[in-house]
Amino acid sequence: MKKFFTIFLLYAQHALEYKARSFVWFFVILIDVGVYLLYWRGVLLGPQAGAIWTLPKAISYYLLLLVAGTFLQVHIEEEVAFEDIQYGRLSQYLLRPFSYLGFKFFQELPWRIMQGGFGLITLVGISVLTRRVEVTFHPEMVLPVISIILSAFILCFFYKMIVGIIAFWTIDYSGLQNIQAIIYILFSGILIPLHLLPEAIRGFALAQPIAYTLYYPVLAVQGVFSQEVLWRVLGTQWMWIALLYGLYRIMWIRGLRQFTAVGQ
Amino acid sequence: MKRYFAIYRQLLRLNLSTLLTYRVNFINNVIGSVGWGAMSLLTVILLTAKVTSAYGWKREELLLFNGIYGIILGVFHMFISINMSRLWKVIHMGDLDGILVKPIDSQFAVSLWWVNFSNVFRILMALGFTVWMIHVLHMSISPMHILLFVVLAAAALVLLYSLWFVILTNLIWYSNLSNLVLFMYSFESMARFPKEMLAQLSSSLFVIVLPLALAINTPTRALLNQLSLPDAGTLFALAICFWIAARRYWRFALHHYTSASS
Repeated sequence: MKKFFTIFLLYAQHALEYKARSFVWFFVILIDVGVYLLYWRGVLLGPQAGAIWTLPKAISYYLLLLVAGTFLQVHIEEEVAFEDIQYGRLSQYLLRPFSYLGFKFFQELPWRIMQGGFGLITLVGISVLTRRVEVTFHPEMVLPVISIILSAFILCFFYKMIVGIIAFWTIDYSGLQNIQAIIYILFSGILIPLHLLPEAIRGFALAQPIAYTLYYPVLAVQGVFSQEVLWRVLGTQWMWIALLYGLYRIMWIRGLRQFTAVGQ
Repeated sequence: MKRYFAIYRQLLRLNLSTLLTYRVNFINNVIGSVGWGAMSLLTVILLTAKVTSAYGWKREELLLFNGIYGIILGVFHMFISINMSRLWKVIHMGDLDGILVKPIDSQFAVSLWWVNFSNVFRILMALGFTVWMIHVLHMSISPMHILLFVVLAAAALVLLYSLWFVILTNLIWYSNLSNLVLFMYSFESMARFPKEMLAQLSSSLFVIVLPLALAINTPTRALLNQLSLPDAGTLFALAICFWIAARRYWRFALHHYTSASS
């Protein structure tokens, strides 16, 4: 564990040195969230107000999504696919006395804390200066909500690692990366809260693992769920984590046999 | 000028050869570009699924608006943004050295070297969707409307290019900001919403997004027969101003380029 803590500290220095990159990432999410919020403002202040959603709920949802998007949305897949697998840098990791998965996890964590910090500062600033954001404050809810947030990060990490190591089997990863990004935006709740999706895809959208990386954590913090539902969400998250970890292991073992170690 | 047309013709030929050599890559890119095009349309379809109007625009008009966004952005991504995506690498890895010693304009070389032919499918998809929405809205489009649309769309493309180029020129100083391109994609996506929506921002923020607000709104309004002359005039004026600014800023930035791996 000490080794991983050292890796975390090393990459924390990295994240601090390149904080401008984190700031740009933060802005990418801020723009998306801001635009959708602006759209809903126009809709929910019009004659259709209340029938679909309410403005205070929409504001809370998108502001919490800003923090969740910056803290929970892992961006490791591009580095795994391009730098490590396609350019052959993975060989360096294979020779080192720690697991690749653990290394990547603790490499990513400081970046998420840094970007999440930007999101949190914005959220607190808005709450203090303009509008109080709806969040749950019941003491009995705190433990499951925090567990859901941490589990969402782990789940997103495994999902993105799987996406990244698909590069073992591809020559050009960019098309796949685009498709993955589209699927993530659509099914994580960034574009629209999943309960507002058309009925035909709502059931699927609410059940698939990507929903548990952003959508459910945001609703949990908003205080939408009862305690029983919170524990059920947590249980489902860990079911997905177990399944994705299993899939990752299978793909990793098979992928290493494909890896030529000198880049593709 | 004639020389640059000849060079560009050669570049198109080279890009076509690359496409024919790496066909699987091309299919992969087609999937990506069509996917993003579809996503852009799907975004508005989903956002308006339970809504009849927003900011005075009917659902069908918003969909038409996004079809037009798809056409203009498809052309932009085909000829321009593929080069912008590579700019950070060109600067960070020192490839700009090689470009600067070539006997051609460096801005031309970094902006137009690559062509992403896979975006043809995205453009066709957006075009089909736009024609369908025009049919749904029972609009009658005259050749004059189309001519006006093409002229305004060309001005919008110049404006978008200049805006991207001004911001990405900063990579000369901050070449590790590879995600600045993603920021631009995100920033540019604001253009797919009506100007009335962006006008809800505070006046200082609206000034920043005004070029984007006009880029797609003005050509769309030309098709809808709602074109306002001040908007068209502002679009042309901004396109010219940003073009000059992009050109001057690039030349200024090159004085600060510290060569390989800067």
